[in-house]
Amino acid sequence: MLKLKKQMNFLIIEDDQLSRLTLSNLLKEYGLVYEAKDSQSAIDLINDGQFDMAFIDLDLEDGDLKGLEIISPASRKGIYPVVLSGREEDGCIEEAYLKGCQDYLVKPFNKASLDMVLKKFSLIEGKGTLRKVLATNYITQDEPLIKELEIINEIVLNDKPVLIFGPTGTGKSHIAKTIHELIHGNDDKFIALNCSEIPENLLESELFGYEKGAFSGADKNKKGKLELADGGTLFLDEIATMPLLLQKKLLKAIEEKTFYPLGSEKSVKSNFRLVSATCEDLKSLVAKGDFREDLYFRIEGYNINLKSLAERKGDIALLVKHFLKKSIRRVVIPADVMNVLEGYQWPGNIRELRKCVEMLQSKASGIIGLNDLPSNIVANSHPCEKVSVSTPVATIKTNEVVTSVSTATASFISDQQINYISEHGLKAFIEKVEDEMVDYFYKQNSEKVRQTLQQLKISNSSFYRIMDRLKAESNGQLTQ
Amino acid sequence: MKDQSKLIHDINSGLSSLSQAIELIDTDNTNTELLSQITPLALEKITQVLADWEELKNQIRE
Repeated sequence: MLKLKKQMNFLIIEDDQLSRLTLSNLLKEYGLVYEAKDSQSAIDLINDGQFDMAFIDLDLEDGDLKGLEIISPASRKGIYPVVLSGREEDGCIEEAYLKGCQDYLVKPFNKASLDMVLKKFSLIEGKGTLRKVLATNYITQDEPLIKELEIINEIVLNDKPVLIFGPTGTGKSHIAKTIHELIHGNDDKFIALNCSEIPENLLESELFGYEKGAFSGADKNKKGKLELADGGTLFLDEIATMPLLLQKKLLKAIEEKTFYPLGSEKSVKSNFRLVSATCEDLKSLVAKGDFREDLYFRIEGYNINLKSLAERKGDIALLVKHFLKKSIRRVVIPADVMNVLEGYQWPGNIRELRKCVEMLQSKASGIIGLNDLPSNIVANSHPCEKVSVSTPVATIKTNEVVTSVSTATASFISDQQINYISEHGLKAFIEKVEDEMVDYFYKQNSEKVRQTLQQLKISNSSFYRIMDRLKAESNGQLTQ
Repeated sequence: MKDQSKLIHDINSGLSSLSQAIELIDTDNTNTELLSQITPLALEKITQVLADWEELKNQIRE
């Protein structure tokens, strides 16, 4: 029996008593069932009651195709409408979908198709859950990446293969596991194999298993990953590193859902969903002949592209906060240190960032300073776009910031400022404004900090952060 | 008298209904209460389908 998250309320709209009885018996396992024979009593029930799903026959007691009139009212009330009809005309099907039907099932339906619809409803209803799951399991605020990951809503509804692309340390295995857990509710039968971590000569036995005596050292039978993944998910990480001969064997196993363990004459069946991952450009490997084209087309189905951290720097602060919270001991990362962390490229992506935060948490001091950071991060960090002294457009006069009006945009941002932003980025522009305003007002107030803070309405820490930056820039200019 | 397309539709609908009912009985064949509810309705449906089939046959022959 399919496990649904809650007791549901169903509405069956069907004029045939035998069909109503059959469907009602199937649905009783999952909740309460209400029935209607004609469109008017159905609409009355819809208006007065609260239903999760409505199963609608198109031809009712009060007329043929009267069922179509029920779909829109049901949909507007937040009910998930499913049409169950003997009609297979494209016109009927199209009209039903246009009116808001979610699924159109042709009679006779069976329990398997009913379970499919119920499963789809429970997963789609939990769409908000997917965002919550991603918010806690895969930290990102990058909207394009979130949109990319929303494909998981479709992935969980069928068993098509999934191919995850992404640089190392971006969470490919994490996403694969999340997909499995959304479908199965736990991580049982999530079988992972990193093809690059196993020596080539052992990879085949790991994948297919072996009989006792199949080779020297095979002192007992061992089930391979393919067999262990039966009914679950087989996750093949770094699939591009799989030897060509093994790719051929894997392809056969995927296509036929049977395979022979090493040394065995007895085939083994295994029905699994394949999720593969790679950081390489598989298409170019196929073109070079290093990866089988037929296997490539077999393993790709739903493709997910995970961005590197360098392409979503806005997530660095979020991830740092997330990793910091995992420890009972709390430390503080001031803005200047965070700035350096955000300016680093993180070639190891999330994995590298996590290790760095774990290392920082073990520092004796609770307030992390720049000297606590690994030297490679400090040396290779580019916290902001450095404005070249020789670039004339870098100089923005105070009166231009306040009084100039752009002829192009009619805002208080001048054309010169817009040019600066398009050349150096908004962050660099904002930092430039901060630098110049703090410098200007600080000098105007005869270097009195309190007055400067009051005028600018900024915090103490922001003021000193900007002053440090000004000092660093003027030191940089002196050494050039 | 029903027209041919209506007859075909009703026969199809009737057969679907019977097929679903039989599948349900098959999977839950110890449920005597269900059996007692489905049996008379199934018999009635069979009668209806046979009648529609006869009518369709006559129309085709004509």
